[in-house]
Amino acid sequence: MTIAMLGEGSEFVVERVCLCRETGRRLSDMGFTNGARGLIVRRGFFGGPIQVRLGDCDLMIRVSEAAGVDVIPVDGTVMQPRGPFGRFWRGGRGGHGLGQGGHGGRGGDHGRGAHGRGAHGRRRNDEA
Amino acid sequence: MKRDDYAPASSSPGPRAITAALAGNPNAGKTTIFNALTGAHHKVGNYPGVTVEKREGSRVRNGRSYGFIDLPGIYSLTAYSLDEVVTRDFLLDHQPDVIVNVMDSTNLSRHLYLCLQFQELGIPVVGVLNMSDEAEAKGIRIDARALEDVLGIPMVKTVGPKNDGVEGILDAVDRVVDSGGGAPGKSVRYGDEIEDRLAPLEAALASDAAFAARFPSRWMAVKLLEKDGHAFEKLAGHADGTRIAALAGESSSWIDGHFGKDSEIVVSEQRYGYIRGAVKEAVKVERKPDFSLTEAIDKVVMNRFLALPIFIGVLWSVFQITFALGEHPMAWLEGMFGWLGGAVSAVLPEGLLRSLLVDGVIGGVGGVFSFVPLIVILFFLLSVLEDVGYMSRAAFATDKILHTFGLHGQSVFPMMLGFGCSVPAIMAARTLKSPRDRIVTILVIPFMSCGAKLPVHVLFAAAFFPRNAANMVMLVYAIGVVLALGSAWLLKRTVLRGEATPFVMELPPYRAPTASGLAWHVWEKTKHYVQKAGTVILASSVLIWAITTFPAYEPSAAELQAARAGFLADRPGATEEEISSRLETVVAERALGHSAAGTIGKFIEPAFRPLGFDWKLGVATVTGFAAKEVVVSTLGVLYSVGTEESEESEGLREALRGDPNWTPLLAFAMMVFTLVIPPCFAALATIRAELGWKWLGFAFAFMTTLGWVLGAAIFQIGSLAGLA
Repeated sequence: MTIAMLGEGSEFVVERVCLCRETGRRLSDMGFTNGARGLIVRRGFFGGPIQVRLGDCDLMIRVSEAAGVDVIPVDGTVMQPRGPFGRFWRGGRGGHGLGQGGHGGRGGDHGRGAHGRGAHGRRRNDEA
Repeated sequence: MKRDDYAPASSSPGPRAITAALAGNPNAGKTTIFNALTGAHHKVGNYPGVTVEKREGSRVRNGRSYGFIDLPGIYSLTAYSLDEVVTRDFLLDHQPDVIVNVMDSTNLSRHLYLCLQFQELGIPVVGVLNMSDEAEAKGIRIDARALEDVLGIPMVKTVGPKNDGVEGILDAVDRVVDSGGGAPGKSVRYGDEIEDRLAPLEAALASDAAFAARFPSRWMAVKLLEKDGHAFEKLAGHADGTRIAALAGESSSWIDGHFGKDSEIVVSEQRYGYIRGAVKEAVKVERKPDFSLTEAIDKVVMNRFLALPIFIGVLWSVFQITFALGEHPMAWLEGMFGWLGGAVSAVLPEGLLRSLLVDGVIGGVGGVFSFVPLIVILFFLLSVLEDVGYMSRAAFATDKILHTFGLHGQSVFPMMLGFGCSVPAIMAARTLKSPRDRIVTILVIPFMSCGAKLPVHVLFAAAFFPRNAANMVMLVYAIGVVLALGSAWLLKRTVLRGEATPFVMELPPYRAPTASGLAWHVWEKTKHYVQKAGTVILASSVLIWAITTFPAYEPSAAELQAARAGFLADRPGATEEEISSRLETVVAERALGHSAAGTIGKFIEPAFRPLGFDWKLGVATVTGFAAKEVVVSTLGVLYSVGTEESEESEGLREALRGDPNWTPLLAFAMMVFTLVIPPCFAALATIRAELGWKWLGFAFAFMTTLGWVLGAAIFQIGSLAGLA
C-alpha cells in the first residue's frame, strides 16, 4: 500500500520510502520516515499533487512520489481514487492534525530510530 | 574569503567581535529575526559565482560587535540543491563563531532535523524557537530547558514580529562564544550498527590533521555514509583519501544490505528517531484547537475544482490592481520626463548633443523609470501573496498542468510575471531550487507576451483585423503560452533532460505579512530592477540612438525641392506649416534609411524575405531590441507618418494598410515574429546575469530560429492557401 492509493481523510503510518537519490532523500528529510504518522488532507485536480499532513506540518507531494512511499493504513478508511477526478466525497475523518512524536515500531527510542530490517530490499528508480 | 572578511570591525578594545550565521528552514521567520537583530544595518549581495542572495548585517551591543550572515533557507544539508551547497560551503569555509538556527516552534521535529546537522559540523549552535506564541495557541508546550539538556544546544523562545526574545538570542550567543562553544560531545547517535561503521571512518579521517581541521571528522563520516558526492570529492584533499573512499563505500553498501534501503534514507530515519525521542521528553501537546483558519480557507482555496479558477482570479486581480493604481503615477513620471526633455531642448542648441540627451538618454531612461510605479505595486502585491503563504497554494493548483510540460508548480509565478515584464519575471525564477527547472522557466518566460509587446500587437490587430482586433491580440497571447509550454516540453526532453525534480513542498499556515518584511522585499526587488534595467536600457538607448542617427543625413536643396513639389502636387493649396511638417517627416524617413540601422535592415532583408518582410521591418526589429514598443515608433518614422506615432494613431494604421506589401497575413506573421524573437536588451542582460553567456547564446539562437521558422511558416503556408 502506498500513499498514492489512499483517499482523502485516510490516516497512515509510513513504512518505508522506496525511492532513491534526490526524491527519496527529500521525502525522508521532510519526515517521511519509518513510523511517522500521516493523514491525506486532500488530493489535487486530475491527479494533481496530494496534500499530506505529517505531524503538525502540511506537505504537498506528486502522485508519482506518493507511489514511492509504502504505508500501513491506520483507520481502515482506505479508498482507491477512481477516474480522472478521484473521489468527490471525503471519507473518514478529514482535517484533523496528528500529534507530534507519533510513531510505530521502535521509532521513539532515543538514539535508535526505527527501521525495517533485512528482507525487503525493494527499491524503485525515481526517473521521471 | 576567510572568516575575517565577515567579522565585524571592532574599534574598541571590548569583548571580541562575533560572527554569527543565521540559518534555518524556509518559513521559519528567519528574515524577521534577521531584521530584528540587525535593524537597518544590512547589505545584500550574491554568494560568489552563484545567484543565491547573500545578506549581511551588523549590530553593536554592550561594546561588542556582532556580524550576521543570513544563509539561504534549507531543509537539510545535502548537496542536491544550490542553496544547500552554498550553506554548507559557507559554514565549512568561513567557520562562523556560532550558527543561530531559527526554527518554527509549531513544527519542531522537522526543524530540529536541520539543527542536528548543524551540530554535527562542530560549530556551536544556538536554537531559536520562533513563533512560540503560535505554538502556545496550538497547545504545544515546549520545555526549552529540557530540550537544551537532551540536545546540548541552548534554546531561546522568540516571537519574531513582536521582537520578543530577540535580545535573548544575543545573550545566548555571548554565553556560547564566551564559554568556548556550547556543550561539546553531544550529537545524534545513529544506533549501534551505524555507529560501528562511523567509528573507523572518523578515526581514518582524523589521521590527517589539516583535513580534519577543515572538515569535521564526524560530519564528514556521516556524509560519506550518506554517499554524498561532494564529500567524496573533498576526500581528494585527504592524505589517505583513496582508502577512506573505499572504506566508506563498503560501509554504506553494508548498511544498504542490512537495512534493505538506501543508506542516506537510513541515516535520515535514525536522525528522526533521535528527534522523536527528544521531542517526547521536552514537548507536550495539551490540546488541539477545534478550528483552524488555515484549514477553513484551504477548503475553498485548495478545493479540487476551485483552486485553478481562484488562482486565475487572483492573478487577474493582481494585474488589474497594478495597472489601475499604477496608471496615474506612471503618467506623472512620463510627464516629468517629457517636461525634462522639453527643458533640455529649450536650453541646448539643436544638434547632436541635444538629440543624444533628449532622444537617447532622457527618452530611454524615462521609458524605464515610468514603469517603476507598476513594478513597485506588482512586487508589493506578489510579496503579500508570498508572505501570506498563497504561493505554495498556487503551485498546488498548477503543478499538474505544468509538470506535464516539464515545468514545476513554482514556475507559475515567474511565468505570469512575464506578462508584465520579463526582467522581474526572470529574476523571480530564483525561487526555483532545481537549476534545470530554473533554466527552463527562464528560457520560456520571454514567450509570455510582455507589456511592451502589447502596442505592437494592438497596432497590427487594429490595422488589419479591425473587426477582430481583441481576438487577434488574445490569439497571440495564447500562442505565446502554447509556445512556452511546448518549448519547456521540448527542452526538458533534449538539452535539459534529466531526473524530474521532486515536488515535496511545505504548505505553511496562512500568516499576516509584516510591514517591515514587505517593505524589505519591495525595496530590494525594485532596486534590482532599476539598477539592472536602468543601466542596460541607458546603454541600449544610446546605442539605438547612435545607429539610427549615424551616418548623418543632410538632404540637398534639390531633394527638398523635389519633395516639396511632390507634396504640393498631391495636396495643392497646402499651407506652409503643412509643407514644413511633411518635409520634416520625409527627412526623418530618409535619415533612418541612410543610417546604420537602415543599412542593417537592408543587409538582413534577404534573410527576412521568406517571411514577406522588407527592410523597414528589419530596421524595426533591430530597434525593438531597445524596447519592444519602439517597433511602433520606428515604423511611424519609416512610413513617413511622423516621429511620435503610437499604436492608437490612425495615421500609421492607414499608412500600413495603404502599402501594397502589407496584408493581414503579413501582419499576423509580424505579430508572431515579434512575440517569439529574443526579448529586449534589458531582458537579455538579465538572462545573462542569471544563467551566464552560454545560456544567453542558446536562448538567443533558439528564439531567433523559432521566430523565423514560425514567421516564415505562417507567411508561406498562408500565401499558398491564398490568404496573401
